Amino acid sequence: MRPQTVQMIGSLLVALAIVAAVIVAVTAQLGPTSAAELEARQERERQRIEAQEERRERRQERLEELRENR
Amino acid sequence: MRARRSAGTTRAFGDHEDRACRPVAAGTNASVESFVESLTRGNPTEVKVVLASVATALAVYQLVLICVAYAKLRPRFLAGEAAGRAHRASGDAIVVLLVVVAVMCLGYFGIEDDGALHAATGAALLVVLAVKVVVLRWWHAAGRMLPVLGGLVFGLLALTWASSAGAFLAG
Repeated sequence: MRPQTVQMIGSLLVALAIVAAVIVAVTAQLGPTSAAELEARQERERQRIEAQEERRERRQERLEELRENR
Repeated sequence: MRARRSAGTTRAFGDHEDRACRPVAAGTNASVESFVESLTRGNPTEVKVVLASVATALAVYQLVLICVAYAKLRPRFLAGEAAGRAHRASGDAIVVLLVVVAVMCLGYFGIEDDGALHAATGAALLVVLAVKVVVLRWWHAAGRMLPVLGGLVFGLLALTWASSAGAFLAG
């Protein structure tokens, strides 16, 4: 292979490395703002609230049972 | 936080605000919007920011390559001819990236009053880029203008990026 061709391929590989580095840096800067990530976070939040409500209801039922037994 | 529209889904982008390009409320081509939406999996702003940042970083590299091609820089490991060819190849990639970003920007986000600088620099960038391509491919007599056109393309690209993607990344 001619030295010129090797140099050109090397220059293009450097360009590819720059592209990869920019994608990584910008994605890291943007953070978890993807739609899938946000939906997953909202889903986890919803499940947490539901679980809290269930626990509260069960506690309430137990309290009522105790009161009735007295 | 910013609410999403058209497809009926609600979507937030964190605390960032893309000041120049915001989704237009009505009157845009719904098919382009849904195409961009599905292509970017619901993250058009983020994808646009990444693509524009890649194009800008490659443009900086283009400056280095053209300096080598014009023998303003003389590194031992890179000849002028090879640098010139690499400059053309990555320049073609940049043109494709910029056209994609421009289509996304116009077709999905539209133009708003507070994005006037971004819109003006973006439009000027595409015009100067088109002139540069014409000079390179067909109008060889105007070859003397290439350094000026290249500098203009870089300056306009930097301004366009800074007024939208840069501001978005800076928060």
